[in-house]
Amino acid sequence: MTVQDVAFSIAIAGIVVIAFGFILIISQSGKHADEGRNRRNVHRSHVLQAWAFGVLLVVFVTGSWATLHKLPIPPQHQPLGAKQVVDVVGHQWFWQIKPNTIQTGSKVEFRVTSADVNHDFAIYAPDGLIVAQVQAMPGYTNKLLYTFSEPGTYTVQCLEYCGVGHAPMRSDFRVVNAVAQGTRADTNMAISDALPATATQPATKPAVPDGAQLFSANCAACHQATGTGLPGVFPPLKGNSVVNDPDPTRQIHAVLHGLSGEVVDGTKYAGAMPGFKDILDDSQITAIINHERSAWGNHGKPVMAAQVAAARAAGKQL
Amino acid sequence: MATMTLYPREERLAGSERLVFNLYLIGAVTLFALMMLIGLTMRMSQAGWLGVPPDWFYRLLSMHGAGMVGTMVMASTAIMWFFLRKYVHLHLWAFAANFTLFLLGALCIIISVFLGGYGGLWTFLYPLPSMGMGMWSPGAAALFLLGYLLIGVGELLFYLDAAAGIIKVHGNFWHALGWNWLFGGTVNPDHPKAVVASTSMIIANSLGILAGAIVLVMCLLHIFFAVDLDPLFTKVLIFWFGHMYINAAIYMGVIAIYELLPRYTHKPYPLNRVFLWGWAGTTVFVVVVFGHHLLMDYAVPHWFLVLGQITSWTSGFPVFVVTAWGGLSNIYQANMRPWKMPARLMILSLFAWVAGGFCAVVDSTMRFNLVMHNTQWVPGHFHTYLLLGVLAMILALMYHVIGERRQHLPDHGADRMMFPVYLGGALIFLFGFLEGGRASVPRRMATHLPAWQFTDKVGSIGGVLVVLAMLYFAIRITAGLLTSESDPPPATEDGRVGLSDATG
Repeated sequence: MTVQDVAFSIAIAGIVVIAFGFILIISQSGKHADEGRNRRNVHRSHVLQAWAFGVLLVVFVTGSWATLHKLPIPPQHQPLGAKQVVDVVGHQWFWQIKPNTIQTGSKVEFRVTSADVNHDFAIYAPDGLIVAQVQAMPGYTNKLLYTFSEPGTYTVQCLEYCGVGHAPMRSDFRVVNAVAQGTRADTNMAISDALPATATQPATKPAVPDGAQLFSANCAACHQATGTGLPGVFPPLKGNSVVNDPDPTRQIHAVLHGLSGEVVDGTKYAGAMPGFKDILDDSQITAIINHERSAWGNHGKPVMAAQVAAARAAGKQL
Repeated sequence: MATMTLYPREERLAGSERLVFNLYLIGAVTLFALMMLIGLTMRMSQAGWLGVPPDWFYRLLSMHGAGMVGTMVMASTAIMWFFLRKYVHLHLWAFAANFTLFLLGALCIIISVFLGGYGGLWTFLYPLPSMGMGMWSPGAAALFLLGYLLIGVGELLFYLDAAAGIIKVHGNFWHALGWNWLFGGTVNPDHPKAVVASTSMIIANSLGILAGAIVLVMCLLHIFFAVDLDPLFTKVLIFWFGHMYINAAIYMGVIAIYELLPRYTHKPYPLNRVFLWGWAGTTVFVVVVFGHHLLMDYAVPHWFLVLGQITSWTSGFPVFVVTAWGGLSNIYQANMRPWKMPARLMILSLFAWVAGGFCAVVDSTMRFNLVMHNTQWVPGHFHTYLLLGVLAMILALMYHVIGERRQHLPDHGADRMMFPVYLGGALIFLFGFLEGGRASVPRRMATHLPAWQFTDKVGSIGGVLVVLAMLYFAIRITAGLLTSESDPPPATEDGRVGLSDATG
């Protein structure tokens, strides 16, 4: 039984008991009581009321102790001693999660913050239920402790409304069975050695970024997984003239420095696009652009990492 | 204690008072119906039955949240005024000014949302209003915040006038709350419950409105002068304001039950020490309980989060052990058949308040909040005590008033038919949310994964029934309120007097 099932069962059981009580009293409401009976009813009601208060008081005291004697929230201003530490930054509308592979069996300390507005870092297990969450607030780092017991791919969903891209603000990380005991560095090293490297892992050996995965994590919230964008808000990439332009300069510039109030293929779009120059490296941006240039029927000429590097060095001026 | 005369002379409205009161109630039912249509649109979009683009979804959500909360408080303010004026002198200008400022504020909000594109939700969580990413301008966000300020100022004006009236009669808040009887002395059974409840909310909600005013001005300074704010401090103030405001709707609305229920049961409902202790607890708990909105903000001092859980649990005591218990005791063997609409709605509201409150207690328990925060459990529990609780209290007063205007107890066949449509539809609608919460379906989200859409569909079906019922209520009540009284004055139904010591 999950925590959600326990909460739901308690709530439904409580509602049923309350409803039963109301129905019982309502069923008696049509009866008539003379003055003497009324006085006895009043006295009985007072006695039952006192008993109800007493029972609820006991429930309150025991329930409070049971749920609070060991606070489910870790201390925020002292070392937590977790072997695994994951840094999380929420952005409008994507997550940075480093590292994105975790071992089972030992505590993981998530250090969660936001680069812009309030977000909510909610971890969904492979069964689709939340296992833990914490708010991501700009200027604050909240520490969440959790121990994973089951391997699998866990999804992170933003649960704090953060703007029009809130719903697709989704990412994931992998939980693998523990491979070695040791320090944080050893643990991360062991994870890296055990798995094929991906672009968002701290690299211990050269990794080939997965453009589709990076697009999904960073761009799909606005441009959609289908590349169709949001009419009037975020432009489509499918059939986009900039994406299909043999000269990738404008596209590289947009990804590096962002855009706002842009007219694309004759349509003005209200949404603002953040720049990714401080978030993604040249190889990652190259992978994303090449994914966009080849997906959804697009036929743009692939770009090289050197072109992205040159554009980065040239700065914001187009 | 509250009169048992069904339609006492001192409650009759005429002239300007009747006009302003009618505006409140007709405004309320109209806005409720419109906001419900917006809500249904969103649920059907989440279900995949309508295709509302995300930018429009969040505009609608902003309008629905602000509109419902504002309208609930506006309507329950009318309840408070209707009964409190019998015990203390209230100036009509303050009551009218509140309504005028409410309308102006609502207009600002409507313009900011539908013309300015504001989609930052009722919570206006800093710094989101100034980071719309092109969806809305800072000006639109500022207009939304100004709308809130106007509504808050209006409510504060009404409270100040009511406070002055209460102090003139009772000397001070201490006596108005009956705290002089908490530890001894003979409780005056005729001390009006309406005065106790009104005083409690004047104190608590004024504090909440002041917190809101501070944070609204801070946010406006940020928008216009780029003043940087602390996001945690602003979030604390926002939720103190918001939580308090919507709770005031319930605690003002319950005055209708204290005043009206004995008229339909023909059993007195006097004040006693237990009642006074219940309201003393409420006055304190409701001010400090809002920490339960911040349980996942680990940066908040943990003692405050613990206080949030504890006071969430203790807040249930006055609701269940005092008010609901007292209401049920009042209807027990009260020879009530056949039930009339006001009585049905009042008892329904008590049930929903207790049931929804129980779900709220579950969510405010940290261990559960860890997995249910910001899921659909949250709208599940608050829609329970708002849709079936506060709304039912408001409808109960409205039905009672139209009964007076039409000179007979309101209970048409259509009323008896729409009541189960309202109740049944709401239960289905609420189940959609609560089951969604159990299944970790997020709240406040425009597009849902296919796995989440079953409960959206269930909720939408329930929502259709609720909207149908609300449209009926809106038309029925508007028509009833606009019916003129005929001369001579309506016959009042004399209650059976003399029964004593019904529990309160």
